Amino acid sequence: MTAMAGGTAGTGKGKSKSGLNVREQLSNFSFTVPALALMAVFLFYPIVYVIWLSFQKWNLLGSPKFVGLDNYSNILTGASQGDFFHSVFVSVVFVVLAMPAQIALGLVLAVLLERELRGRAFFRSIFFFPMVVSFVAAGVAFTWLFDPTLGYFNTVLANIGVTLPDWKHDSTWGIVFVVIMNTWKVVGFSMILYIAGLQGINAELYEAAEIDGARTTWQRFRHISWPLLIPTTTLLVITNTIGSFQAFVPFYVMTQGGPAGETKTIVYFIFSTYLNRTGVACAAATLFLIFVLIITAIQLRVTRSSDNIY
Amino acid sequence: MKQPGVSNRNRLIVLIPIAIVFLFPFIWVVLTSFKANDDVSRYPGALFPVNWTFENYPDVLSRLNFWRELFNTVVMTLSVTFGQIVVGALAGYAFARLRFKGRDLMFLLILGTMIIPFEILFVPIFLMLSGWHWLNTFQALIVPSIASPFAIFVFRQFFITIPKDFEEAARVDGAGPYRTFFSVMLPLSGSAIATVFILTFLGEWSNLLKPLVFSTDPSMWTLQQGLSEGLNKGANLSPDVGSLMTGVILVSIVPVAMFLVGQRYFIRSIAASGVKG
Repeated sequence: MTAMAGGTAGTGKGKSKSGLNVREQLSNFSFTVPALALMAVFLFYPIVYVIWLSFQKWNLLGSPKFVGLDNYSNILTGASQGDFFHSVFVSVVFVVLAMPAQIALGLVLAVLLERELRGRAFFRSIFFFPMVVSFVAAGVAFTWLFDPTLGYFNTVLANIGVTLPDWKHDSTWGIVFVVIMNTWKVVGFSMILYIAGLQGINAELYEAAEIDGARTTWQRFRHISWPLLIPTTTLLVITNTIGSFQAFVPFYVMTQGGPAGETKTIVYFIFSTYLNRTGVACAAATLFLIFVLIITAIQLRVTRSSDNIY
Repeated sequence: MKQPGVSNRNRLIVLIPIAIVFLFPFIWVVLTSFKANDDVSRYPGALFPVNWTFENYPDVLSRLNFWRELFNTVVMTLSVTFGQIVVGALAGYAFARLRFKGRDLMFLLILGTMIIPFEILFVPIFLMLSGWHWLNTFQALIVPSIASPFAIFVFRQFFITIPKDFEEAARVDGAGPYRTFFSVMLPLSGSAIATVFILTFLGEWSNLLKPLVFSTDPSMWTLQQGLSEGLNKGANLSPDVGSLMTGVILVSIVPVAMFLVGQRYFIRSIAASGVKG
């Protein structure tokens, strides 16, 4: 606590930066030192390290050997191409199914729960509650609830002549059942943000729309709510896309990447290769990093152009 | 005044079935945890246990190594949460209120890193920890997670909204920035602390990838690892569904209890977490 900055510390109005002497600036800066030091070691350095490793051949024994772009060509054109491209494919399919599912259901629930209703808080809690359960717990529960032989649903449906697809031995259905679990687990997030968005809409707009001829509920939703919710929808599309691309645990728990490695996502690919083919794993991680940066750049572009309040 | 929307009755007609679908897995998990293994395979379609048993609980408590894993999980979760709050509040306060050269550029840089997930960096961090002989220690589970761009962001956005009078009053009394921070600003920041506490607590408690990579020794497992590696892995060979669902309940009980007590804060925190980026 060397701070002797007294009256000049802080952002006192009208005081220019040069109004602070070096000592005061250092004292102020010192607040950020724990955060910056930890981030330097566990965030900035690993980013550089993962990129460096992506140019090395290494299986954690001996020392890394520089191999140029071999790991990348291995992933994009060579030996690992099959597993890597397939993992990209699995991730894309998962995002394409999971992201719209949680946004659409979240919107429906928000519209139903936005206004006063008996038991509204209770309903909201029920839909939100899975958010506090871990993906491991939810994954294990859904695995056995829908188990093709012992599962509750399978047996009940069998009585009326319906068989559940054997999603543990069929990769397409495997992804679908992970999406079902995922939607149950995370829809509360989209619902809460949509409720906040709907409550931010001025009620007078609906009255004005009614005078202008928007008589049905659908028309008012279509012409007032939906356009005014675009910032919320944009935010949800971006966060849910990035979030779903990172999916690993739901697959690790429910399909264990199977059958025959057919449901391994990008992160699952990194997890399966990092011990034996460290360089390949880091090349995949680096490509994934570039991809995340591109998505974020698109996000900045889109949110700026749509005048997003966020 | 007429607002948009369907009538209450029609809304309930849609809501009640969806609510039942959402609650069903939860009810099924609880009921199944009271089923003996024979019952699960003998009456697979029965919702309620035919012969109620409480054997699964003591059985799973020992098979999970529950108390050890609970201890590991609690130490990791509380340390990371506490660390993120202290480090994040200090930095967030500086970025909101204190002047120094390059401050805003630094903050932008930190904001930019918010989108880089742990999933991309776990390999290099694993190698660093391995070189330091930190694998299978508490510091491996705690230290890399303490600096959180998100926590810094939450505190910065919070401190920006506090009227400057509070600090000025403290300064007139001759308090330096550290004393002002600890005796005036931090006590005011309950809502930001609650947001970071809830989100970090949930995230750490539920985390699987980090302990899976950084602590492979069963004595350092967390609860999620116990359920995933200890109970669920290999369960396909001779599934003991009753025990598995008991495990699901045991690893979820703490966050669920917290949610039941502080629902409003949970919902508010999650809403706040969406307003980032």
